[in-house]
Amino acid sequence: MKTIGRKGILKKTLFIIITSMAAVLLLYLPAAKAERLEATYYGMDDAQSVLENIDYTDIADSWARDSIVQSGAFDIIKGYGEKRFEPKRHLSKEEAIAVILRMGGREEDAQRLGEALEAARNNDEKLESARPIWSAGYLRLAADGGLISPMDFADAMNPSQSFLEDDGFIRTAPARRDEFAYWTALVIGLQPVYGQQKIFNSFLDWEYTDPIKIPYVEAVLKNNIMNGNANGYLNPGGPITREQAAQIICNAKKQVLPLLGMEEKRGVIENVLLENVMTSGYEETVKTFLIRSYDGALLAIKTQVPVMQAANEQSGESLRPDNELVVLRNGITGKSNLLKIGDRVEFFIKNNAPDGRVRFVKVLPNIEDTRYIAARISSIDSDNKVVKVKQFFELDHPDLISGKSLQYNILEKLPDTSYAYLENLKVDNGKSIGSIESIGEGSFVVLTLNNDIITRARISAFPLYADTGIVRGIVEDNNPSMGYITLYNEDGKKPLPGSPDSLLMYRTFSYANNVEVFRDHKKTGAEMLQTGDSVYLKLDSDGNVVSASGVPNYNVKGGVILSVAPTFLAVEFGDGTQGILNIDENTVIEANGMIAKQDELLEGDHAIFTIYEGVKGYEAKKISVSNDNKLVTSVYRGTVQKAEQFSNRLIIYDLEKLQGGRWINTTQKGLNEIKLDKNNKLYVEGIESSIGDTVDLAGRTVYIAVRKDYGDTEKAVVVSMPFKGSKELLYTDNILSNLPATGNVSLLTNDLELGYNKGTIIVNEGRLVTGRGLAPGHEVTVIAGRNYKTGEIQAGVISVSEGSGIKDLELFRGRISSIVENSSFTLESFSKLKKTSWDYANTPKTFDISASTRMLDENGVMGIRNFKDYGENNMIDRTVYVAGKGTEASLISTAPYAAHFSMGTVWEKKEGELFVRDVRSYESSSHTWKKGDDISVGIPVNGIIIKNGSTIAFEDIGIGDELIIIRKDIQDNKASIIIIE
Amino acid sequence: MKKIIALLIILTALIATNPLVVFAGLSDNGFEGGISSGYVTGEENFEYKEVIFVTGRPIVLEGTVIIKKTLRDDEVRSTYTYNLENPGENATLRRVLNYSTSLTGSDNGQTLEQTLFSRDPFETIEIDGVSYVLQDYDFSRSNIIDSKPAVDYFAGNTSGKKTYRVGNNASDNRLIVEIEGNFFGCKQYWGTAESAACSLWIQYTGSDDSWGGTASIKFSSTTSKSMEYVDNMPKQISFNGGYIERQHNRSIMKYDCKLPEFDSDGISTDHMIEKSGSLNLETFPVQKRLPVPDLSHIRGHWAERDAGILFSLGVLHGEETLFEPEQVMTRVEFTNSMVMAAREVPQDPRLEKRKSRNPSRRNLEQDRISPFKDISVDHIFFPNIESAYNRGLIKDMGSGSFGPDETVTMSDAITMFIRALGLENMGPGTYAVTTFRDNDKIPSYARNSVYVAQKIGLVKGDARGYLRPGENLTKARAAAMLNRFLRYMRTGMLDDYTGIMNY
Repeated sequence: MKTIGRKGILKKTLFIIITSMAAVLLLYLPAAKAERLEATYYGMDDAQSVLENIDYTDIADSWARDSIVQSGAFDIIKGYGEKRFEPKRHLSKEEAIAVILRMGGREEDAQRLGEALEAARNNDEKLESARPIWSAGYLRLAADGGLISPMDFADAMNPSQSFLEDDGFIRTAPARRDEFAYWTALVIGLQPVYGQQKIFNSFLDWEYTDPIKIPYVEAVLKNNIMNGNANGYLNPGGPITREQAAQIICNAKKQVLPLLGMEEKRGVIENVLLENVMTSGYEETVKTFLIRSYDGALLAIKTQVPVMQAANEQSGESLRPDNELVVLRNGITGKSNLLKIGDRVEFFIKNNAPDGRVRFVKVLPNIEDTRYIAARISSIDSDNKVVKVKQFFELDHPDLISGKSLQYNILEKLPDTSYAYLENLKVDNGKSIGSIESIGEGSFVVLTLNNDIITRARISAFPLYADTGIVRGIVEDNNPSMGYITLYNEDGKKPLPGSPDSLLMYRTFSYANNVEVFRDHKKTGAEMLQTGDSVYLKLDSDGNVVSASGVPNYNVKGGVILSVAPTFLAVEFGDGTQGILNIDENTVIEANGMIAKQDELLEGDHAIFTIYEGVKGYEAKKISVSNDNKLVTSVYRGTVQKAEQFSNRLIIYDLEKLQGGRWINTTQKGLNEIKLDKNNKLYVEGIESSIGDTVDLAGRTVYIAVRKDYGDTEKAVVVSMPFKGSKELLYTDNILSNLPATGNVSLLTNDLELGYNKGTIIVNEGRLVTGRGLAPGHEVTVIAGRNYKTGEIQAGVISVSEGSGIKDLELFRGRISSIVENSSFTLESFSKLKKTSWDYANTPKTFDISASTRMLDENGVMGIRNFKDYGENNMIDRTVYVAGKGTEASLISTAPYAAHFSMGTVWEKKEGELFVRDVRSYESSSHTWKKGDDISVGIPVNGIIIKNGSTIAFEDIGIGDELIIIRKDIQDNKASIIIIE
Repeated sequence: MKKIIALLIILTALIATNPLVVFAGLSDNGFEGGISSGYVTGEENFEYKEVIFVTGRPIVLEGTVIIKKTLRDDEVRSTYTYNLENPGENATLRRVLNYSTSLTGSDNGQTLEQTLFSRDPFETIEIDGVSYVLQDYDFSRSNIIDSKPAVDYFAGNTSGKKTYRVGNNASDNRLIVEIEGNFFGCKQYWGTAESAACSLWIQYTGSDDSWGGTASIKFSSTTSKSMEYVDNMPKQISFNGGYIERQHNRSIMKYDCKLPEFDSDGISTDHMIEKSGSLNLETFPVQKRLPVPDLSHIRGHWAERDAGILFSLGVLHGEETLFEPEQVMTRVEFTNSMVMAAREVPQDPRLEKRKSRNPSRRNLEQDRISPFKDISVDHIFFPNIESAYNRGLIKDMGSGSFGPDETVTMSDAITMFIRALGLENMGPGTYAVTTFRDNDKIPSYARNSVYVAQKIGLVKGDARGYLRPGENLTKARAAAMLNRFLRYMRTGMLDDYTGIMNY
């Protein structure tokens, strides 16, 4: 059991969550008396005149009626006087600009500018056109703000509007819809959308849109401020009507309200309080509307009306105007007396301050859509046709309750909600239809509500998992050290903060003190549950997790490692996609079936990745390196005869293999076939290409890196074509320095700088690597050519020499003085192989033997069990070679004494004989290597062959290998010891 | 049963239009740890390779296996006759094995197969004058087959213990080889894959020597159909280039063994040698030229190639010159295409029951009742809609209507793909969370399918990471998705099985 600390913090958080949830639920309860008011707002003194302005008589049939009233109340689109709005009338360009600038809160600026312009108008002009242009200030502001061009402005101010060209800016001409959209976007500050989709996908006539305005039109469409008609036409070039404009203003309220210094609130009127107060000697009636806003806060709106109207004795004007509200209810405008308890209202406050003025109140229609709720029946009052239920959440569909479940702990804390039900309500219990009385208290039901009246009820199988206190989901975050675990919503959506649903469905749980955790059905600690796991949590009555059981949802993908960093790997998956794999201390790394460390991962390694693919990217759970059949076994050079796309192969003429730092003929003469690997890469002069794209491969020189596939067929993994016609250069050298950033490497002895690129085949220990895989000191064979364009020398192939030589293996020779069977043996004294001599030490040396010690005698392999100090195989006093590391003997051989050292290169292997050229023999008298004739040597059955620190078999010697040959003397044609350098 | 027979007839008719059919690779490798070249229509002799370890060294034997199968009621009788040799090692092997496989259905639609010997097994190996004669063979193999609308999946285990007498009749030298293996496979119209991993335990007890060693064998076999486009060389030809469908059979095997080194007298030593090797068997591909649709009216359209392939394969139906890529695909059209893309898993022709021909198709048609009230039996797509319904590709949403002229959203299409593959179980159980940026817009019924589709590479989303789940599919989009689905069936799914060896 694991004890989880710091649980207290979480408990507190959970408490807060539950309290705030309770606040939401208070919505359904009468307002508590002592509750603090979040804010108090007031009516407007000019409510009466605003109402008179918007009391249009010609909008009853307009579909945009509410919007016309609302935009009128905001003083954005005004009427024509005489209670006329003329909803179908086209908005002229100047009107449109005025409307849009008012929408942006610029009315005052425009009026000031207009007065200034009028004042500056000289008398001649005034004579020419007696009336001032009412829109001059707006147009000037539009020109200054870049809505219209200076030329448009000049056109607009031109007194002879009728003489303007057709494409001129005639201010009284109808505004185009795209123009209106464009201006709207500019004024309300929408970012233009350059990757348009909505306009192209949704509208048939998008091409009529002014191209410059398209990004703005798209922005307006995306924000649902404008839309086309139902037939798929946007009608961008068409005129815009006044009702359309009004609707657009309301659609853009999200952007417009801040510009006007206004804020929108929504809520339900919970109560209306009336009281009479005395203010400055007048008795006034103060009406207070208590409104429960949708975020749970309690708000108040106050109006104040004098009880006795005192009027100015001359004008009859009220001395104290009514402080009232402008209210729209079901298409009727009026004052606060239109508001009733229970109304859902939307209201707009000017000056978003605690004592802001309410500019406009709209009663939202109470005709709700049908709702479906999952609930538990608390009580049934059949006399009053009311049921009390504990309501869990709403459903999209009455029959689809899967994917939602209720947290056990919340259930009991839920308050009851009352609903009326239809007199003849039918209840479906799954088998038959009954009456409401057939529902027992405590039953779980899905209720269908129309206007909050229950019209249908169905008993649901829901309680089966609601009562068990079990929740399930996918882990979003697990933090046992902080004591909590967070799940995604059961429907797979991310929790949306702020919505009442998200509170009910809150998905963070704290761990109880003793929590039992299973992962993959094995008992483990809580920290083993990972992001992305599917889990079940068992909660106690406090809602804390007492037990958890999860399984991982991993994906397994094969790929190759592109680069290794301390906390991540860059990899290319088998399907060609690339990704970054995050690794941490929990990532298991395996190489060839054994646990490995991260620094053992090499660039170019092939591996199988067990990963979780989450929103935050890939997380590696296990990396299992397996280079079987994947490593580069050879590099070839040849001339392409033809490339066959269908058979996916190249036919190559003059095929040669890179070995021992030079090109060596392959066995098959004439043409050879090289099959291309499924994931092959082809580069032409450093540029990636494919066999289908590249038509003229024929006649070109290619370098080919191959791997050995199943059945030992070679398959080309990289084919690289050097610059055409460039002469090939071959270097065997050490790397002095490497600059992967520029793709340059310098060679030590040749004192030369070479370039490499994507197409360069760079092989290190069989792994294809990028230039980053080269390091100073690497012994390399480089095949290069000159880039005829830049004159630079470019490497086609860089092959890092594989390990060779004796390394840390030591070779001894001595006479056996004693043997402890199956355990150890001792040499009386011994000689140890140094580079070109045997160093004698007159001390005994003891070696351990084990089951893995090999023994070779004159007949070949001898079982180590026969290595005895008695009987017919008595080995005492035999002189043997011992190869081993430390005191561990890996090989014991009775091969003949040899102390003559030669060097050379294998050029042929035949019938157990090696044919060696470039022979140099060591003369111990002068300590020099002396050139000699070609030789052929055999190896006795008990001969020792060493490569890269291990003993190998005769078959593993390759043509081109450089050898050190140790024989009895220069005439001897049997080499007791061969070391491959 | 009547319905099923009717369906079979319809399907046989469907398949007959396309004679190149992939048949079950199931058990064509035998159960001995070797690989065969796989089924090619009409062949009983398969090329075969196997590695044996009886001498303490891996020896590759090559030759043939002859497989004969008959189906009688709920039992398959099969005979595998092996003739193998390795002249270089002077080795030969003769083996005859008779199996009886009983088939038991379960309520959830899965089939249980149980395989045992029906007659005494026979095997002799001669290597360099030494004979290994099979004395005793305990064998058991069991697997389940899970049939999904378009794919049959299977998984099972094999275990066996062979005892050989080494040397002449009187010899007491015994060699025991024990095999434990797991195998997995899938079988569908566009390809089959089978892979297996076995571990061997080899033990020799003789008068002169005794030793033990282990080996492991992994192998996989695939048959797949690939599509290749060929341009026409001459230009004055009435149709554009077209597609070639090729069927490839490939088996690969890899073995690793750890066996003792033998001394110069042939007696084992304590030194163990680890060796590994691999084998490969491929058939020469069978190819078929597909009809060339005339899509000149949409030359250069993004969907030109996709539509070309789909018309060639009969997945898209109708007059190709009337194919309008930007038209919205209807539910009935999409379902028809799905039935043609996610075709029924073909039966092994060697196991076909001999059925008496039904008197006439006409009578059958009279018996037909449409599962949907808004699809009449005369509808041109009726057979495929009925097949889709019977195979569980589409479901009746309770209303009894199908909504043939409704549109298909991206989410609908993905749900149908995953249902066809039967891979719903790859999801995380509850409603999944996908990494698409519009994850929350994926309808809850489709989220698990989208998760799986994303996991297996069937959907990728657009460049900005959006899936656009609610988008109605145009014919162009549908063609691209259907073709991607076919590509997955032909390669992606099969690669997962061969990936068990090495991805």
